[in-house]
Amino acid sequence: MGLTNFPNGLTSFGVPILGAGAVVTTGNVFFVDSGVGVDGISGGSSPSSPFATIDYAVGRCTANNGDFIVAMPGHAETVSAAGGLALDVAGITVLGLGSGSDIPTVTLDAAAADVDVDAASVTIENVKFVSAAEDVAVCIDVNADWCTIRKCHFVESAADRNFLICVLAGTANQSDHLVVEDCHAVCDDASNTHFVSFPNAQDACIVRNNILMGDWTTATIGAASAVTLTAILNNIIFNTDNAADNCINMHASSTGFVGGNLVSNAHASQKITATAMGIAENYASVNADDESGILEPVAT
Amino acid sequence: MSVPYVHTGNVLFVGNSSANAADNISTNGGSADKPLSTLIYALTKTTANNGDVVLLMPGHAEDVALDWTFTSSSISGVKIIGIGEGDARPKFSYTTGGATNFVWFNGPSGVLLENLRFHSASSDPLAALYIDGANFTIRHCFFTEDTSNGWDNVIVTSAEVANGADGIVIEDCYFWNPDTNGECISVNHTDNVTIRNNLLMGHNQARAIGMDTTSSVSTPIFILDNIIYNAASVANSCIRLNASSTGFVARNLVSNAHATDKITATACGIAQNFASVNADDESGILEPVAT
Repeated sequence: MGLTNFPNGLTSFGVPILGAGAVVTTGNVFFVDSGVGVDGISGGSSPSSPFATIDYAVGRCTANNGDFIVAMPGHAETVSAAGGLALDVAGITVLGLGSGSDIPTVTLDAAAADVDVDAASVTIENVKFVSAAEDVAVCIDVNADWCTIRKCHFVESAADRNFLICVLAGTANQSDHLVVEDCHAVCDDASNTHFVSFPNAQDACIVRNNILMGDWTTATIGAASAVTLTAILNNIIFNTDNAADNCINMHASSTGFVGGNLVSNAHASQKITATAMGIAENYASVNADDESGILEPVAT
Repeated sequence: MSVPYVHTGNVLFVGNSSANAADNISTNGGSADKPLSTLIYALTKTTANNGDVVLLMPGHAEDVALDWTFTSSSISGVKIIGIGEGDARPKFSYTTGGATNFVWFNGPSGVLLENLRFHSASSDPLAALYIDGANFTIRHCFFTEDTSNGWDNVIVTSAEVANGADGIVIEDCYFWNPDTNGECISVNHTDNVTIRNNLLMGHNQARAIGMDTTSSVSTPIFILDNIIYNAASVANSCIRLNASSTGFVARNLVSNAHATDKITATACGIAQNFASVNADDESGILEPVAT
C-alpha cells in the first residue's frame, strides 16, 4: 500500500486515514485566524501560518474542488458593507472550529452589511454571526443553489443591534436546494421579521432541527411566494411576537412537508399556515398560559 | 459531511474533474493528485471483501448511458463514497432514458453507496438503481431529476431475482422527484429490509414506498421515520405493502392528495404514523386508524 496524500492535511503510510475529524476532502484546506494570521499568498496552508480573513481565503479557493476554509477557534471577522464577505467560489466549505465562546465569529456592524452566497454548493458550518448595528437588513443573503448553513449561531450583540432577517433566500429559483439545519438563533429585537425568509419562489429547500428563540413579526420561517417540495421539520420556535401565523407561514401554493415542529408565540391561536403542504405532528403553545401545546393546525 | 471509516483495504480515488485523471491503475488511483476517471473502471480493480474503498472526489460527474451492470464478485464489500456537498457531490446523470437506462448491481454483496447523487436527465430511465445483491447499504444518497424527466422507478430491490437484495438498508436519503414517477423505493420480493430516515418529496403515481402487492412479500420489513410528500391523488400511494409482509411501519409522516388512505401494511406492526391531505391546511391524523 502506498503513500496517501491529503494536501496540507494527513499523510500516512499503511492504513489510510480518511480525513481528520470534521475535515474530509481531497481539495485544498486553508486556515484562517484573525489573531495571528496574515493575508498573503504564501500563507494559509497550515494552522501555524493562517490567513487573517475568510474573505481572503475565499479568493484562494478553486471552484468545485472540495476546498475547505477552516476558521480556527477564536477567529473574529467584521463585515461592514453589502457583500463585505462574498462566498463566491462554488463548492467551498467554511468550517469553524471551536465551541462556546471560541466559535469563530463574523460580526456585521452596518445596516447594509451582509454575507453573500453567490456561488453554488457553498457550505457554512459552526460560525457565529453577530449583529452589531441596528436593523441589519440581512445576515446571509443566498443567491445560489445548493447552499447549506449548518450548526451556525445568530445572536445580537446588544439591544437594538439586530438582524431583520437571518437567512434570505434571494432571487427567485437561485436558492434552490437551500438547507438550514441545526442552527441556533437568539434574536430578541422587536423589529426582526424572519429567521428564514423566502420572498420568492424556490424549490427543494430544507429547514430542520433549528432552535429559534426571538421576536419575528412576520414569520420565524416564512414564504411570501410559493416554495415547492420543501421540508420544514423538527424545529423548535419560541416567538415572543403576538401575531397570527408567525411561527411558520408558507405561501398557500407551497408544497412539501411541515412536520415535527414545536412552536410557540404570544398569539391566542394560529401559529402555522401551510395550506398545500403535508402537515403532521406539529405542536403549538401560547407563551403565557402554562399549558402544553396542542396539534397545530387542528386535525379533523 | 463526514466519512468516518477506517480501512485496512485499498483506497481508490476517482475524480474526472482532475486534469490528471486517467483510467490506468499502474499510474493512477492511489492519490487525489492522480485519480482514476471512472467508477466503472475503479470497480474492476477492487478486491472482494477486503475493506476496499472507492472515494469519488468533489465535482466528479459521470453520464450513465444505457445500462451499467456490475456482476463481478470482486465488488463485494466495497464502500463507494462520495466527497462533497451540494452540486459538488459526485453525480451520475442518466442521459438516454427509457427501459435500457439504469445501473444494476447483479451479484455483488455487502456494497455501501454513500453520499452520491443519481440524477435523471432524460425521460423515464428504468431506475437509478437495480439491486440484486445481498446486504447493500444505500446511505445519504440523493436522487433527483430534471423537472420533466422522471424515473420509471427510482430504487428497485430484488429487481430481477427474488430475494436478491435481502438485507438491504436504505437510510438518510433524499428524493426530489417532481415529475410523475412510478415508485420511489420499489421493494420486490426481499427479506430483511430497512428503510428509515429518508425524505421523499415528489410525485409517485404508484407509491412512494411500495411493492407489487400480488407477488412480492417481505419478511421482515421495517419502514421507520420517513417523511413523504406525494403530489399524487392515489389511494395508498405513500406506503403500501403486500398483505403478507411482516415487520413494522412506524413514525412516518406522510401526505398525498388523496382524501383518505395513505398507508397499507396489513400484517405489519403499525404505530405512530401520521397522514395529511396536501390541500387542506390541517394536521395529519393517525394512519391507518386505530380502533
